[in-house]
Amino acid sequence: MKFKKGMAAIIAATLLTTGVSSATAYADTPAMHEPMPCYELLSSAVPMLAFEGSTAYCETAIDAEPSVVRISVVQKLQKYWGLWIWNDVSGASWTQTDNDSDLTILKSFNVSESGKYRTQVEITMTDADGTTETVTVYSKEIDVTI
Amino acid sequence: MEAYRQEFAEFTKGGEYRFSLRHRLKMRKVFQKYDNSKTIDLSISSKPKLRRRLMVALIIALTAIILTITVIGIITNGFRFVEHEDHTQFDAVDVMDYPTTIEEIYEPTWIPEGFEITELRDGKVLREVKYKKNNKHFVIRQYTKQNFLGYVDSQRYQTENISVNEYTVVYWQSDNVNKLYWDNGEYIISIFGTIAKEELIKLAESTKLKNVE
Repeated sequence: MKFKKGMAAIIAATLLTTGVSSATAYADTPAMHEPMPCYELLSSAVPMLAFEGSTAYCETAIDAEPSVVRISVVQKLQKYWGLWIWNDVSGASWTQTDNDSDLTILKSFNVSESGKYRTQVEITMTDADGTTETVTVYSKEIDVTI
Repeated sequence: MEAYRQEFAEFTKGGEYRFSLRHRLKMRKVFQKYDNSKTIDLSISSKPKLRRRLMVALIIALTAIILTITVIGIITNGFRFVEHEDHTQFDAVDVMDYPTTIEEIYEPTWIPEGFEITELRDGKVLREVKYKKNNKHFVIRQYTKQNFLGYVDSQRYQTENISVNEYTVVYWQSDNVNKLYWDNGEYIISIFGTIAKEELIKLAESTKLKNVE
């Protein structure tokens, strides 16, 4: 009797957890999930980091809502120090501003140390009404050996 | 009655009885065996505890598996989607043995009437061509698969999988903009813009490897 109660508890817990998971994961139609808070002005961003030898290529494409009239981006190359701490690489910070609803920034930098790197991209968008939104995105992390 | 008490009082006057050494040794062996069997009995009575522990472990394992699947994300059409609090991240699943830089260019052979190129950006891992006509625009981008990581506002967009040529394209539609992403086997291609869905799909269908003259 106790064993049957236990199995019932397991099945209930599994169903409950699956129900929660299905609200956040999806297969063919992502729109089937429950609505969640979203970006106001940002539509999509693709921050990319690649290395060729010791040269880091920091390239990011940003698309905002058509109502956005100005995008300002601060892109930084960061190096992993440890203990979840990322340090900005000195000299590898770039700012670009465009009076449009999309922006692409293409930069490169020579690094001198091996380690794990990523780019941090801070995107500030302003629409015609003066509404401002700032979103920060990160590229994939790349291990570099020099 | 008094005589009865006096007679049996003789039996209570004696001290504690001491058994012989041989008897005591025999009984000690018996008691030791009894102590060992009590240990066995205890383990038998712990079966319900073992069952409870197994059930708890099973629940924890199932929950961990389900949470892991959720964190890893759902894979569809060559992309892995992971949903976060305010956005969805997606990247390419199959990234090994593909170009790590933009080596070959993919471009559309059909352009909607009246649109002209207003900007072209050639990066190492990202290439972009912008087209505009009046207040309409679209942007075609080509990304290397290894480095691709997209952030998209998943709540605002309705999503659909569409077959384009031999590929399955992820199509995102909102009130203001539409976009397509697909893995063409070598690179990730995207088209983003304020043009109609049919024009986006036609652009995707016409996007082919640029002939090098």
